[in-house]
Amino acid sequence: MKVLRYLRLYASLVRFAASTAIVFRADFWCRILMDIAYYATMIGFFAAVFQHTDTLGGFSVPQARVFVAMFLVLDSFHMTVYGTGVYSILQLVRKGDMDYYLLRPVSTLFLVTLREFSLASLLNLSIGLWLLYSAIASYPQQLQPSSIIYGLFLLLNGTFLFYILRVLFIVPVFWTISGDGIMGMFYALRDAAERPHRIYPRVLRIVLMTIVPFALMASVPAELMFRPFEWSSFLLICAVTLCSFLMMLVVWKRALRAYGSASS
Amino acid sequence: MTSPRAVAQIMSIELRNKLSYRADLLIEIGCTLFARAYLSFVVWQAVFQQTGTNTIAGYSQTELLVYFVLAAFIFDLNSINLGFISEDIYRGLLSKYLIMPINYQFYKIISWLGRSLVQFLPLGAALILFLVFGNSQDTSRMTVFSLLVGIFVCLLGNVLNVILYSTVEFLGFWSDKVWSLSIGLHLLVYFAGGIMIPLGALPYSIGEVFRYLPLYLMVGFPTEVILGHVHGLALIRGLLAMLAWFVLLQTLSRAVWRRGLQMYGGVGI
Repeated sequence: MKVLRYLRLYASLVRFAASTAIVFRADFWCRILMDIAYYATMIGFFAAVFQHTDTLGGFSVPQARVFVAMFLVLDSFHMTVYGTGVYSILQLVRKGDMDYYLLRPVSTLFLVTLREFSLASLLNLSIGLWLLYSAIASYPQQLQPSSIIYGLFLLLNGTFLFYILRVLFIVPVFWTISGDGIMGMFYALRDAAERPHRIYPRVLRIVLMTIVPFALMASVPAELMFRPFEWSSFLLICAVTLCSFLMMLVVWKRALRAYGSASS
Repeated sequence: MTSPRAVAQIMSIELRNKLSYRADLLIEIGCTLFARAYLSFVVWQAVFQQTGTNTIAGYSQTELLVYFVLAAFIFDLNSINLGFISEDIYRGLLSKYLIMPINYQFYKIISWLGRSLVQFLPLGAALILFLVFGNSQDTSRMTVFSLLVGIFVCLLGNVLNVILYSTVEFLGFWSDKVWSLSIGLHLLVYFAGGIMIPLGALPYSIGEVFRYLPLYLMVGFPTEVILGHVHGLALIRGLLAMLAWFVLLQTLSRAVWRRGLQMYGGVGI
């Protein structure tokens, strides 16, 4: 019943986002242009790097294509569903506007992070999915359907992990008020996830797979997709995601308790 | 004409604003900048290891690391937001600047200079350390002259940056939200400006086109000048390209500003 109620609420938020997109038409097209610029940057970068080498971090060109497409899907999903909502927490805390959301009879985390559905990015998500489909379809060796399903499952897990990490990196604003530094750190780590994890030194790689698991979002799923199934990797990913999720819930609760309702 | 005292006052206020969040600033300089440089470098380090080559696009491994640190610093100087011009327009806050006895764009450039002073210090220190203690093989092209010319070019590049971004932000007179355009431009600078990749590592024809775009002239060009990779005729050509873009963008910017002001109602939302 509760799930249905939240689904209905989410449907209303999406409907509201659609009407906002119609009002702010220029913003709608600007967002599409922005995402296209990002896609061009990512693809151009890897195309340029592969002019100088045949493999990068263990990925051949066709494998890197799948990895880049996976990351683009991940990023556009983030931009479509929760990117703007999570980012708005910075302003809500600084201006003391979080009060309005605390008073609502639904989960504050749900409402604040998922209220800004971006219709423009939905179009880019479909472009990302098409890129992923063509990268998998043009892969020189035949990929087993089970490998593809496994890869997609890990990608789905990656999008969830991205959400968790996004929230975890924004909540310090409840204590620090200015979250620019910590957000800069988040973007740097996110940029680290844009590269194959095997190019990093061992220690950093382990950190990126456990403590701040950005590598588990796209790079590790892309790699595992091309390898036979291993229980150890699968369990590690599940355990890290679960721990991160529990940590997010605890930190969020503490953050709300620390919220002083004062604006600055 | 704005008095030097007013200019100093604006810069001082901006500098104090920047220093008021010291922890943020430290994270920004320590983590974000070096992380960005490292992330660009680590990819090329992997290429060096994979191929066993000694140079890529004319850079040795150490030189490439210095290139990325420098480019990240200069990019960060460019990235300091212009005070959300479009937001000023959207909220009607522009009105207060209009009654000030100072040109709005000039005010933004001065504000930027004030905020970025604090970032020039570590940049200068890092360069001097590199020049003094660096391996002579890696610093052979870099001289005190190239450093001084490079810093001058960096300042020119930043003026170009302010004009380019403000022209985009002035579109806020016609559209309520243009932040995504600024971010799109930012991303293009990241790639075509030479932050992720030195232009020499791109296919020749693409690299040559990028060399004449303001995106490269704002970041990659000053970086290469400091490192002594651009000199003589290439330096003059780059400076002339900067001048041409300055005239073009300034004319465009003024035209957009004048037209926009006619539409501006002074009422925010």
